[in-house]
Amino acid sequence: MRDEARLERMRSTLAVDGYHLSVEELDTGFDVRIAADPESCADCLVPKTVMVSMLEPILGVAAGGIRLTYPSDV
Amino acid sequence: MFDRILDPTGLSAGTATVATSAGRVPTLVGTRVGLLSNTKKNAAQMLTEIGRLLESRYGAVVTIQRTKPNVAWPVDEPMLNEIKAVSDVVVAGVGDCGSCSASAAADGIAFERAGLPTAVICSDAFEVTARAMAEVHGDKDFEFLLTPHPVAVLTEAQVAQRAEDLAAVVAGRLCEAAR
Repeated sequence: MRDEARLERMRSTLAVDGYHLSVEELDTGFDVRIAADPESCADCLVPKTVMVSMLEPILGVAAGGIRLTYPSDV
Repeated sequence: MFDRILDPTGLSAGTATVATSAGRVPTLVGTRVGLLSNTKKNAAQMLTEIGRLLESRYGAVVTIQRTKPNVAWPVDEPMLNEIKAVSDVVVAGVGDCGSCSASAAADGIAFERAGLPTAVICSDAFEVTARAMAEVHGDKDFEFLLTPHPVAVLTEAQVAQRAEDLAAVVAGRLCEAAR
């Protein structure tokens, strides 16, 4: 089950480095997108595999249920 | 255990399920201290200052200071072993961004599992990512030390003051008798 409080804390933490987290629930899992401000710190975002692992307990799904898009992907 | 450190993400062997902490040292007198910083501004300076205070106040001896080449990745096995070979305890940090706080937490857990009591320092704005990384590594209650965010913008004098503020809690994290 999705933990909204933890998700909000993660969103706030990412914002300190200039990143913005959005989460959309799909039939098959979650579509998670992280966008970057122009002045965001490029090295401050954890590797995608790590972010997915961090999001698993927050979203309440296994890694396969998380589709993660980073700024470098778009 | 260490195959997880070889992967830059620290996750190649999957998530561990148990916390493993090293025993605290009985005294800091003569204890060999390893310092592991990252490339964030002021991280190395703060750890150097803390090391100096551990020497002057507690009788510890700083034997090695290393800087990780990439803030986002946990310490690799060669650097971990290099530090372990000449240290009884480790001070790591400073986690002052999302990725470096997460990797600092992973570093602390890796050193604890290698048998070295470790004090990890993160800035308070990134407690969430450090805690999330600790959970990923199977030790969600891993204890790290917080300092106010930000650290990177501090002057030399302010870094020294932060080190002063942290020295006692770092000592207490490494040695029960110092608490």
